[in-house]
Amino acid sequence: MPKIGTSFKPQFIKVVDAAALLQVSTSTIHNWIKHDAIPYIELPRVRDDQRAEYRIPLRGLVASLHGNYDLGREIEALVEAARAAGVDAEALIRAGGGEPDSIDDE
Amino acid sequence: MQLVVADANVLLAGLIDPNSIYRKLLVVFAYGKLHADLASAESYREEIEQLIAENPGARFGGQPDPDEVVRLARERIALLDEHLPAMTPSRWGLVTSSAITKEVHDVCVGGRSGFGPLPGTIAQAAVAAAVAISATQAIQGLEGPIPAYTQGRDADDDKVIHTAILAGAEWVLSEDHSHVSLERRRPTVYREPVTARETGAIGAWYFINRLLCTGLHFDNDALRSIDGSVLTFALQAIAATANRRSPAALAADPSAHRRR
Repeated sequence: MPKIGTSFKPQFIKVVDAAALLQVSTSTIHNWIKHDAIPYIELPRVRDDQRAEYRIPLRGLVASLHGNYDLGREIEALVEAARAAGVDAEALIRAGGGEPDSIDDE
Repeated sequence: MQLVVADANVLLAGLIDPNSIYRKLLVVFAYGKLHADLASAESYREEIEQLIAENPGARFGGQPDPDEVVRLARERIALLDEHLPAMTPSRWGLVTSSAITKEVHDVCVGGRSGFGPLPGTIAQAAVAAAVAISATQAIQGLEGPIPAYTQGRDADDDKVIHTAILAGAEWVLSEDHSHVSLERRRPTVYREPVTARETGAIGAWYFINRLLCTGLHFDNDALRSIDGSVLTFALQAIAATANRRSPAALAADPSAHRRR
């Protein structure tokens, strides 16, 4: 069996590292694992009385953190706010001190 | 993937105006982000399989399931494919950073946009949308001293340029022709003094005519034919990964865990 702790690639992080990355407690990470809310690998136990040890795939962790946003609808609200004020893209660029390019090739 | 940093005004111009060319560019960037997600999902699945193979007795648990991640990524691309011109390029990826999202937020709530101060929720949605359609983020390196790329013209613009340097982005897309993209028909090159890494600041004309619409199958007409409302589909698809037992849902339950 490969030696646990030496064969992992850096994409897999420990519970303590995941907690530091997300600024939550390690018990929060364990709670998420308990609820299957984040992906994890449960490592095989050498002894029956050994505490479960986990590794967390960083990519999967980030993917699981998407909230329940309805971004499409919220962006429509942004569009409506601009429309109500009579501001379009070119006006916004100018308001920011820029000058919109004509995209027609010459 | 070819990375581009768009400044806050270009991002916001695309977000507020579904009929603008900037919105069509955001759709192209969102399409690139979905392709980057697919590559990442496939790599994620391979990593999981390899780790389990290397550790007999190890098992996978929790969400997202690697096969499900790949399936979702493919579904999202297929959804956009239905609404985009054939041969829409998928190689362009947007980069954001805290400096850029802060500027997006500040423009919205500060009223500099021309449509008055917006509610915080809308500003947050604009920020979330910018992050959602980005292929990657420049996380570290913006805290310390930042080189004066614009030679004192605008320190905030220096952060935008530095984001590109940090992320290895080849281009900075900005319509600020006074401070950032000084030439309309050629890139304004900025060089990081220590590493000598370079990025080129360009406006929409250069990006579209010299970089994006150069193929036989994807030209200016193809870009113009993109329906700006496709961005709404893209955002809904990107944010559709939430599940009933997401960490966000658990965080809403104070009895489920304690925050640090």
